[in-house]
Amino acid sequence: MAVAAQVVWPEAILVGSETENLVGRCLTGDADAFRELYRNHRPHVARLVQRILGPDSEVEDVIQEAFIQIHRSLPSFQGSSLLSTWIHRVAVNVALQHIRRRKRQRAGPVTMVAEPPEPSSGDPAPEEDVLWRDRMRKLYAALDTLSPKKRAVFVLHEIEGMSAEDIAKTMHAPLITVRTRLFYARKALYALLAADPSFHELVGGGGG
Amino acid sequence: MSAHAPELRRLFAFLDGRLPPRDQLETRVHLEACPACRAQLDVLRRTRGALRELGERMPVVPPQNPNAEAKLMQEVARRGAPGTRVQWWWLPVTAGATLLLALLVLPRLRGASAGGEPVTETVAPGPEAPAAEGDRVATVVALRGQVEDGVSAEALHPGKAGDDLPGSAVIRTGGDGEARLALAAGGEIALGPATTLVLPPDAQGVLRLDGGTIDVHVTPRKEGERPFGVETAVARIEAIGTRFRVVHAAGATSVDVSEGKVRFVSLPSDEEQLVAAGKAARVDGSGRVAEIPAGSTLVAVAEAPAEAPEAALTPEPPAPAPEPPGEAVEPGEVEVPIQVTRARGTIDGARVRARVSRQRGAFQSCYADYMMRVAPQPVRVNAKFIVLDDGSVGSIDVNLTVEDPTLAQCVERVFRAIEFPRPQGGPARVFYPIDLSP
Ligand SMILES: [Zn+2]
Repeated sequence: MAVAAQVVWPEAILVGSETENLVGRCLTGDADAFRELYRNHRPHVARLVQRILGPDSEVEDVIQEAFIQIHRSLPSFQGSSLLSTWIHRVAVNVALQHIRRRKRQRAGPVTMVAEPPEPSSGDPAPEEDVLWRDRMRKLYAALDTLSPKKRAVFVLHEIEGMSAEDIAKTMHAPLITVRTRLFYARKALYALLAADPSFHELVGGGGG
Repeated sequence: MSAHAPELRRLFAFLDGRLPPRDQLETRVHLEACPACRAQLDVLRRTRGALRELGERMPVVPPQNPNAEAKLMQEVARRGAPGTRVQWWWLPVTAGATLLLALLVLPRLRGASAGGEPVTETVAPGPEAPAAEGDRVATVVALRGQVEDGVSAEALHPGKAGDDLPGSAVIRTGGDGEARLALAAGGEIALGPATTLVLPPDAQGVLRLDGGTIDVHVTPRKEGERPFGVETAVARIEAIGTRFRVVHAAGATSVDVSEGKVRFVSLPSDEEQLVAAGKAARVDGSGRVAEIPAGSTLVAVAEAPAEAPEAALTPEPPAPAPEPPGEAVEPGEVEVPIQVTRARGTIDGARVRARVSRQRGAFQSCYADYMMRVAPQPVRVNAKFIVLDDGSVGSIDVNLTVEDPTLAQCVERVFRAIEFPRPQGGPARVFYPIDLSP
């Protein structure tokens, strides 16, 4: 084993496209550059994080955490994928990590309990909204029974409407793996939802 | 045959409009005649509709806390420029206590894993097969008995030696057939009887074994290349430079490794296991990975039912058991530590180095695992941590030149397990870069 004492920092910062410039500027510690990156990408990152987590009081914190992780990992962005794809990948990973942490903190498996809808604080929500919020909560309780990776694939495909190809790129996984995960996730989730009375009217009895 | 259980895989593919035109039509005809499948499809369609509607009702973008941006920028400023922050953040604090050490770790994956000679034997490629060109993914080197190949399952014709198979091509052997393929990406696959193998879209992709037996010999992957991968309905196997057999029959997949090691992933449960030479493992629709006696896949071959060529789609695996709750060990975790400890102490650099060097083997196995999963490419680890008064590691920040949370976590675990010399004058800060290369 050779022990080398020198430290070689990655120095190759390409100056080319606007994206590379932005990344390059971020890497030199340019705060304005990172602010620009944040403003450009926050809406989509927020959307992905929120859809993966569902009704979770920590959505905002996780978005924040995602951008800290993005900042931290920028040196590893190699330009082999689009910057946005890479950013979304980091965001999805941070969201999944949050879910794993949350799962570990909760004791035992999550069961689907028909909770009464939260009493609305402040302005009274229309009855229909309450109904949808209740469904939303149940959907995410059901999603908690999936592994984080399957949950992500399911949410991105079924709720966000991404194609399996785009999910594969975002999650850096083979397409076939994404398809397989999607299949198992759908199989489990559809069965759960079809069995739930509050979805039953949606699933079993026409539209709305 | 009485009422059958609807085949979900096909119904989902139909719902997504992903079936080849002929299958789409066939399914449509079947649905006309089969109330069970029709009812099932109806439920799937309504559930999908309900999910879409839920998605549309979610706020497009969660409202932003007005302070979020300012807080983020503050946090980022505190951390400094990504990748270069060490230069100003670490050095000035306690110049004497800051260590700049590097440990060059040179694992020999093949030698280490197989415990013998590195694989020097190379597979003779197809007669006129140079390095990967065009979209050729494999070449049929030899065959015996009934063998068909073609660009898709709908376009099979009798195969012959020398057939070049493009991306997504299908090769299928009959009950008495056998075939040998040379892979453009390096390596060879022997198909046993009654086997259907779907090639990946490109030479670096994952193969799909729909049923039957394959014996795989993968030549070591070059830097930056993906590991060799094969997937069945219930498992994925990844390898870089090994020999192993995969059998998929009756909804279960077994792998039997004769050289090196492979990563065996259960798709229903996401459970993962490294299977080393001389070992074998099996996963079925329940998702649980079980070790089985080595060589037992030989029996499975004999028992493997010849799959009817008409079964175009992957057979429905048995219902997977519910996933294990909790998922105790889930790889892919990165902690994002926020440094709070005020580190003022000093620490004996030579002793730190000695303690870390002792863990060379542990770092090697983290890296060996990374090479298996991703690619045998060099990785720089920049680990920064604080050694607390008792010699344990406080906060730690492991930064890699590649994005791989699993490797970062593995490295972090190794550092955390080290008992360091006690620092003097309070917690001490250590910066420890490690170069990992194949
Ligand atoms: Zn039917």
